[in-house]
Amino acid sequence: MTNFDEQRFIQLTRDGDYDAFNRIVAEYHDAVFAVVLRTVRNRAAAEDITQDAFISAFRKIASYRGGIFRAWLFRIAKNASLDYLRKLSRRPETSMDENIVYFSETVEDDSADPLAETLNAELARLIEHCLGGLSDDHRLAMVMVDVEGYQYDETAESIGVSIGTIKSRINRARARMRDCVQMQPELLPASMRL
Amino acid sequence: MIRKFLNRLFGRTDSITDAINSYVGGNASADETSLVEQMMRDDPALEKDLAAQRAMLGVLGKIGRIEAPRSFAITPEMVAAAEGSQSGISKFAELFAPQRKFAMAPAVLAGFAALTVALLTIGDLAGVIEQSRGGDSSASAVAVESAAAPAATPAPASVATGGLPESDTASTAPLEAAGAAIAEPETTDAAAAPAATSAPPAGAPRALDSGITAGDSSAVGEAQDADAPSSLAAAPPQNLESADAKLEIDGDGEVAKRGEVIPEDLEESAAASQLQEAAEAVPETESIAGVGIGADIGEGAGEGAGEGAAAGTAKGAATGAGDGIELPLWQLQIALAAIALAAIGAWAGLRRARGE
Repeated sequence: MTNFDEQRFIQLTRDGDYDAFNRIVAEYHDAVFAVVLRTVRNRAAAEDITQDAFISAFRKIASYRGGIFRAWLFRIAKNASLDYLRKLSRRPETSMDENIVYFSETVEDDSADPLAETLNAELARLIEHCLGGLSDDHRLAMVMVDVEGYQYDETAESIGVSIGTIKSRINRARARMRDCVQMQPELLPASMRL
Repeated sequence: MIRKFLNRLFGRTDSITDAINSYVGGNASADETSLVEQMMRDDPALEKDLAAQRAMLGVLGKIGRIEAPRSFAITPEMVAAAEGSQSGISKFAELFAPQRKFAMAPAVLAGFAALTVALLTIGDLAGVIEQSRGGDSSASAVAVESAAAPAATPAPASVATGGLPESDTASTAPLEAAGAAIAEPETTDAAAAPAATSAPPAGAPRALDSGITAGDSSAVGEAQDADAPSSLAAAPPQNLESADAKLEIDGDGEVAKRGEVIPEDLEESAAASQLQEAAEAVPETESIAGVGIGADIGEGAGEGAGEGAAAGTAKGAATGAGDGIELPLWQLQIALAAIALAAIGAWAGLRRARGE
């Protein structure tokens, strides 16, 4: 990270330097792929969308006018993801449920208890299921803020809305998630039960 | 309720939402913490709710980190393939993709056009907007008659401002012309209106320059010699002015002879031919003609309208006095409906081009 001079690589990319851009790709591909995968919830599609997003970013690098570069990348990926979901929703023969990928194997837990591990895996599946039940906008906001840990301002810039809108979406998404996970209280730790 | 709606509309959150968000996220300020704690004291259920949300966030934060399954490095071939696969249409369509700036442009255009059609229709039914040329035959007749009265009135206005002598003859000439125009076949009347309407600025100075007076017989000669008017701004007013000066309409709308030098049939034919020529040269746009002229010539308009009414065009006089706005309504409606349909078609086409 310390050797990563983002602005220099951006400038080199503007001059058509593929190697410089691929340094940027290597820096951000995990983050972009994670957000895309948690948004579209289909691994193959997420790979395609991530690849297309980086190609698109290279072609549109001239339109980058400063600000948080990662947020700019996220916005391209977000647009591609929502386009994909929109197309998917218009093809009813493709069921979302069939393509759900439970990419969270487990909730990280330091205990070595096998029962706890199983419960955590079930909890992870429940959380992923509930995340999938959110609207695209709410899920994207929640994934970026609550799962990936980005700040409100960066999330707002990435999604292209105001910070107030992000806060509002987060608030509603949390309430819905809470309602959703409460439907299987046996999987929840005591602190999460109402 | 309204405040909540507006906040949602503009993406704003109130201080309580902010405080709860921050509290659950674990980054609340002292003020926010005290606010939330006060709320929890007032509502014990809230405390449990927020605790559950905090725990849930803790779990969300522990969901396994996702790593890219492969390298997403790009190559020149990939970029070339992407550029090659994107046609001009799809590039254009991308501008209107759902998340883009112009996403709503076709819908807004279609909505605006449809709304305008609806407003025009309502205005037409309510009588605020009146049909003018190009409508059905009756509506067209209304517009033509209404335009005829004020149509010739610019002549007196221009003569008066120009300070021509023989004011008696000159001031009656336009009214006579109005009557003459009304007495003429409909097509000629229709032409006379816009012809004279657009004439005043150019027509008056020309009349002054050439020294034409209402009683000057040479003016008719000029009018006779004149070829077809090359433009509405120049020829028709001059010709109408000179020709009309030789005609006078009595109360019943009959044409009386006044010129002594020029034979009767020649005068009439000159006036008729000038009007006919003007009719052929006039474009089919006379929207708001009556209103505009009425405003321009002030008293002259009233006289013109009065004369029109005396000639049996009461409805036209009323319109000339400024009731309602005349528009080629059904053409506008059709055009706007076509725009709305085109925008909807474009929207559908753009969606198809994007593969949606």
